[in-house]
Amino acid sequence: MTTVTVQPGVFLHVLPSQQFATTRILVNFTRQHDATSLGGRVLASNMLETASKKYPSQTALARALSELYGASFGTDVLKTGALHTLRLRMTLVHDSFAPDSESLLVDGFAFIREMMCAPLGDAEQGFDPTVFERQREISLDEIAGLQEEKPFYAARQAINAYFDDPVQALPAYGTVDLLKTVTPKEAWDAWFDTMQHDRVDIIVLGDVDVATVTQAVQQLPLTGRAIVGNPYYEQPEKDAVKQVVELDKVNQARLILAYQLHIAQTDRFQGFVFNALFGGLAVSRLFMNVRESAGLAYSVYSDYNPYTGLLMVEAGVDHAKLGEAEQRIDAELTRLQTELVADDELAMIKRLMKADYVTSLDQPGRITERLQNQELIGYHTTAEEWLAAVESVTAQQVQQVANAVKKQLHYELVGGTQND
Amino acid sequence: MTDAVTRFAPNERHETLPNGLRLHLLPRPDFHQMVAMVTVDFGARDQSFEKDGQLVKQPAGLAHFLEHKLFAQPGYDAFSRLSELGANANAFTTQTRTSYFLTAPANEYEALKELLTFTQEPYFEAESVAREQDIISQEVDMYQDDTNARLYRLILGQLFKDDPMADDIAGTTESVHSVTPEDLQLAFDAFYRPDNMDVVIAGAFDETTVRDLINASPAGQRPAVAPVSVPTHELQPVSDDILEVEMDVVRPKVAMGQRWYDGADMPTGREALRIAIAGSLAVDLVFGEFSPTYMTWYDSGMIDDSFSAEFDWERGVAFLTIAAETPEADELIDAVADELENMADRFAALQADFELVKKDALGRLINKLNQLEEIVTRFEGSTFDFATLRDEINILQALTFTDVLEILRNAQVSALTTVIATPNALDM
Repeated sequence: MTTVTVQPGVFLHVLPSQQFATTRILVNFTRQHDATSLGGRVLASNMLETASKKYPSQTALARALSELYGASFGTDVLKTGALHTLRLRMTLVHDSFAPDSESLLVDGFAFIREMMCAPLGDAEQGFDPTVFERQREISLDEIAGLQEEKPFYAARQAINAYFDDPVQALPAYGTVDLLKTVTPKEAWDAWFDTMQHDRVDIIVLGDVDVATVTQAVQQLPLTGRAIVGNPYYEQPEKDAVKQVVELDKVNQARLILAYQLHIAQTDRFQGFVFNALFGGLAVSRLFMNVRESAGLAYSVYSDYNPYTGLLMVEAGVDHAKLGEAEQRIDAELTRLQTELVADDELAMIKRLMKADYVTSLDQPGRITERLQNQELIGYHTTAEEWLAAVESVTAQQVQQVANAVKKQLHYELVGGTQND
Repeated sequence: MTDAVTRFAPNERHETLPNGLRLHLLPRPDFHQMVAMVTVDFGARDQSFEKDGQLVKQPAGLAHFLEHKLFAQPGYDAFSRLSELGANANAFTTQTRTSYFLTAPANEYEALKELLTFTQEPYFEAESVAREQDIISQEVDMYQDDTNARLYRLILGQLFKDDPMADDIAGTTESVHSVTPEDLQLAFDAFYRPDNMDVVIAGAFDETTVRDLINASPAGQRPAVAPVSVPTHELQPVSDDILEVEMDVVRPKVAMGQRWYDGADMPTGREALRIAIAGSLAVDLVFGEFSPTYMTWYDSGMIDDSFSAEFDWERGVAFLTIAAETPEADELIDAVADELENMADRFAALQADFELVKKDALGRLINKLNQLEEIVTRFEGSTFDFATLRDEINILQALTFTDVLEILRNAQVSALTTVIATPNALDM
């Protein structure tokens, strides 16, 4: 990988590779997650992927992308711990598939520049009000639609209940309340503020040379800026477990247990191995013992976020088995706290984690995602270092991690209707 | 273009072993892993067959049940063993196929060996079959909570009345609870024959090692057996009625469907693939961003990004489905019907943009060249005469506007059928 500092706070990371039939380009704008700018950023990101001055309609935009050999272009909003990223994303086919273009890469960056610099609207009124209102409607509908996806909805509700700081609980895509009140002008200003002040990481993966990419990136109007932002979030540990029960129309109940687990950054691989043993994989103890042996859940898994220290167990459970399922999950954690994991089980989990890592080397999306995370936390780990770090985790370390886990929340979504 | 495809999909090999098992090797030496699949030409729809002159009728969901149970081996679970070996394994059942596949690090073959063993050596034990009944029932429940899955099931029910196509792939709670070890063994013996299976491997591997390993494995060593005869499906006509159901949805959802080659002989092999690709292109053009009619719907708020139009082709069936959330269900149904009734003309009117949808479709397929799992799992076996992604790209590349128009003009299609899901009356 080659990193070029294009301007202070504006970085280009180039990963030349001949493995893929495509070139992937990310332009990431990152700042501290906050409630003030979030609504504007979310709606601006929707506007940026929908239209621009040059491509004022969805059809015009689609046509431009089709002419670039079915290039895909879109925007995302995402969180890395307490950081919020607004991302422009483009994938182009390898030049050898595009006989009538001199360089799709150069054409692609020209397109990105167009979308970034000349959105549909003007500085006085903000984004085009008609398209903006339509995008707002779509975003609100999407949030309403998430309500229908029960596992997702339950996880969201549990996260809201877990975090003391309501800002940290806010999802990357905002909330109905935030999106309702943003004006086209506020969203416009939020975008230009983002372009001016956020940390920028441009990532290019594909059969490209650094000089060509650097030249293309220098055409983007990005000036120097100061880098601020901290991905890590902490809150005081609670002695009592918070209990939340919510009623909804579900055939299958959702049980979510949230725990706090803070680990020093240098020890984070111990946390990853612990999570993989506990519930992060399809051979983890939760899956094997709660689902397979005891038949207490259709799905059960854990997820660990090293930036916020939130360890979450989610399970799809028969209503009649909720209590039993929780006892069994508790028992699995206790077993990891009191008994050292056997050598062969630990070796198997490590083998799986390493196999998954190797798999990710064949996935452009995961390669660029990992690079972005490493840039944001300022820790660079090569493939060899990553594999070695996982290998070096011991059974004693896993046990120590298990003992640092503290249950903070019991949340269940069960069948029924509210009385009020 | 063909050169570019070959650059990213070189040296594909297709071979047949003496026992009838087919082998497809798709090397990608730049990758860090390989994906291997055993796929059986047997799916949820294949619920009856002849054995010793007798018609055997099996419970709905049997193929999927068998897929789950094949992992249970004497004294061990094949899924866990594959995981222990560092492989990421999975399996899925469609209406017409059952597939078992895994991702393993490059040049590690123990997992492949296991895949070629457990899929050939069933072990159906009564107690574990009974336990599986409960697990699969929960899975059926979960699908019931997914409104999109329910809507899709209902539109298939309208398109394929009284045909297993209309059944949930996992079956029903009742059918699942009726499954016995004997049922599973019967189906295995009838359909899991070497000549009814394909092994597909893509990624980084050594060809000689893989070939030797397959030859020596139970998959390569099992003796050939005679095929069973499967009765042909007699499809009922599609009625143009509208089925209205209440569901736990926030906004109304509409699904519409139409069968192709209704009452006509279906094309097979590469010609079937060519028509399937052409049908998808036509749907992309007529129900996509280049159609002014479609954009009028979109801009007026009648549809949003949840709108989808798909052309599907599986062994013995070809059909088009359209699904959307909409505040104006009746208007949308009329508008879609009008487009479909005049599909060839609407397509012809959009000729100027044909090359653009074709470039888009090519772009999507080229992206899949990066995804070994996609390359392997989209393989449809004999349905498309063992075509691979490389063949798909070449067929798409060769298709012209005139080809597609001719296919649309000649297609014999059924009536259009509709399902509307409305929000529960009590919900508001």
